[in-house]
Amino acid sequence: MRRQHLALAVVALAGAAAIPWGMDDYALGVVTIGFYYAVLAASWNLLAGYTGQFSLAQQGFAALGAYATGLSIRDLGVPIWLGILLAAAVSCGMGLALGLLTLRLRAIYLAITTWGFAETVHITLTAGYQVTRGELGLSVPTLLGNLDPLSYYYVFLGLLAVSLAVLYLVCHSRIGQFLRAIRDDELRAASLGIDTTRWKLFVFALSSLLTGLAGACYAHYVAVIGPDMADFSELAKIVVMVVIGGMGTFAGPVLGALLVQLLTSYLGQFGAWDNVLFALVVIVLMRTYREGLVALGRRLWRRLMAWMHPRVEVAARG
Amino acid sequence: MSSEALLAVEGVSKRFGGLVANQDVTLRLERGEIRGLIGPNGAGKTTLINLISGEESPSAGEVRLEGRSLLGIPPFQRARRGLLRTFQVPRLFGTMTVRENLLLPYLALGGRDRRAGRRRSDELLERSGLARLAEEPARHLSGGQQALLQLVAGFMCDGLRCYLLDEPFAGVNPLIKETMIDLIRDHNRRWSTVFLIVSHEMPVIRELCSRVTVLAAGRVLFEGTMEEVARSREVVDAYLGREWTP
Ligand SMILES: Nc1ncnc2c1ncn2[C@@H]1O[C@H](COP(=O)(O)OP(=O)(O)OP(=O)(O)O)[C@@H](O)[C@H]1O
Ligand SMILES: [Mg+2]
Repeated sequence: MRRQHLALAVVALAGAAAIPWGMDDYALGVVTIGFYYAVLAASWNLLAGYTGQFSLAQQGFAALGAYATGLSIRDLGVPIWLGILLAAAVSCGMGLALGLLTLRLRAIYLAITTWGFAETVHITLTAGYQVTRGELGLSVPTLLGNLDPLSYYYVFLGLLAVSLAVLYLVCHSRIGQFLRAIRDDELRAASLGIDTTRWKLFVFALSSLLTGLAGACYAHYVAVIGPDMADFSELAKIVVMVVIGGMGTFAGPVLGALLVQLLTSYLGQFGAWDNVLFALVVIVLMRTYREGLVALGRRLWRRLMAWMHPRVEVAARG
Repeated sequence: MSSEALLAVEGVSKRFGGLVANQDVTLRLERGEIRGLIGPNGAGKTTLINLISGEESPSAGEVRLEGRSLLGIPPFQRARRGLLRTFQVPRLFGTMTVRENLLLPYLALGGRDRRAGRRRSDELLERSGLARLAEEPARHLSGGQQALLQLVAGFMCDGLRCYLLDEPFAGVNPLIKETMIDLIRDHNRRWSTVFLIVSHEMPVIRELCSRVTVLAAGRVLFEGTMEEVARSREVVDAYLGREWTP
């Protein structure tokens, strides 16, 4: 199983590294942003999909990361790499704080509180315009000092690969089992010796850290950031990506993020209607097929295998 | 020190607002003992289990395990000291397979050697008759199978000292019930594990337990052997007369 995963990862990475040779600058940009959202979606999936903590604050942490590096560079004059590190630390710390705050809250209360947190970030960034420049947007130096799309493609591919590697190690170790246990039945998990508080805080911290890191990198890519990074529609996008790809599956959020990003970029002519369309898809999927594309893929794979090796199927049935 | 009971419940009370669910309950279980806990519905049996396992904290009194107070110790740390419980309505990890449900307590309680965990889960799956369901998600099991799996999961724990079972046999068919009884007795013989078993099933309690404690309206009404309980006018009047004839 593990070896299969490794092989799959190598193929995917090699494929992603080779793809840009046939792409124009617009397409490169689309996929680069797709990688950014894939990190956000995968981090949110760690919280909501694996651990059952339905937080609605992910977009807030992306914005925190972006502004943390932007402001520390402008006001403290730190170098870019330090700004990014600070962003990761700030998001991680705030994630931990939010985790502590919501520790005893369940489902709907957790959702409301985390949503309130993200809204607070949004409003603060807008209203504190003396510092953040509000809707005018904050200028941030670019990471590589240029705007070459190919370079940023690889930067974000690297960021995604590192994030996924970390998440893979967590989800496929005993910690991953503890998180699933907490999602399925927190009371039972605690009664069997799992320190549920510790692991929930860990998940909040890690998911915020990765998201803040991605937000910071995004800031150094787009060069001008605004409070709309913390807008609720950003979270809606993340949720749509995760649900379409497959909530609680490892590959789902990445597939969902890339697919949704491609669709919204190339079907842009539908304007606001694509949001309605995606909302409908989410509703249908949540009611019928909660494991999304990944489960669909698995099912098709099994069909294909059965079709190619009919004997095995017969044997399995017998 | 050696005179201290393995599990000591000392004058424990629990109030929910105006309602007194447990009042001045004292209970001492010696190493290797299987104790029955009986009493009518609403007597406070589950509340007492919750107080011992730490899901609730007592309004007065304290619980000690091997002489150490458990005051303020959260459930997960009590579990790590070898104090486990089951729930009246079986609680499992529904999306995890039967095997994963067994491996989880092993990992959570510090089991490091995956192969050893695997071996033990294989053995328990075999002995509990759940082997052919090993890769099924737990939520697909029947009620009786869930109750069985919930019980068996505790046996994955190396340092299990005291196992609190809240109505483990309720709604369980005779075959599974026999399996449960065997597993409990076997674990008790091999490791001197203490059991506190809440049940309405007098024949099973009689078969398993050397002593029983009768709880009524939150108080300990009686404590003794099953024969003594059956002879006690008080108990028979309060509770047993209706459902049980010795
Ligand atoms: N969390 C709670 N809040 C308020 N009252 C409670 C709570 N838990 C239990 N009670 C009350 O305490 C009393 C004892 O309940 P408990 O569940 O301990 O009884 P029991 O002996 O386990 O009953 P049963 O045989 O039905 O399982 C009941 O009157 C119950 O309503
Ligand atoms: Mg009860």
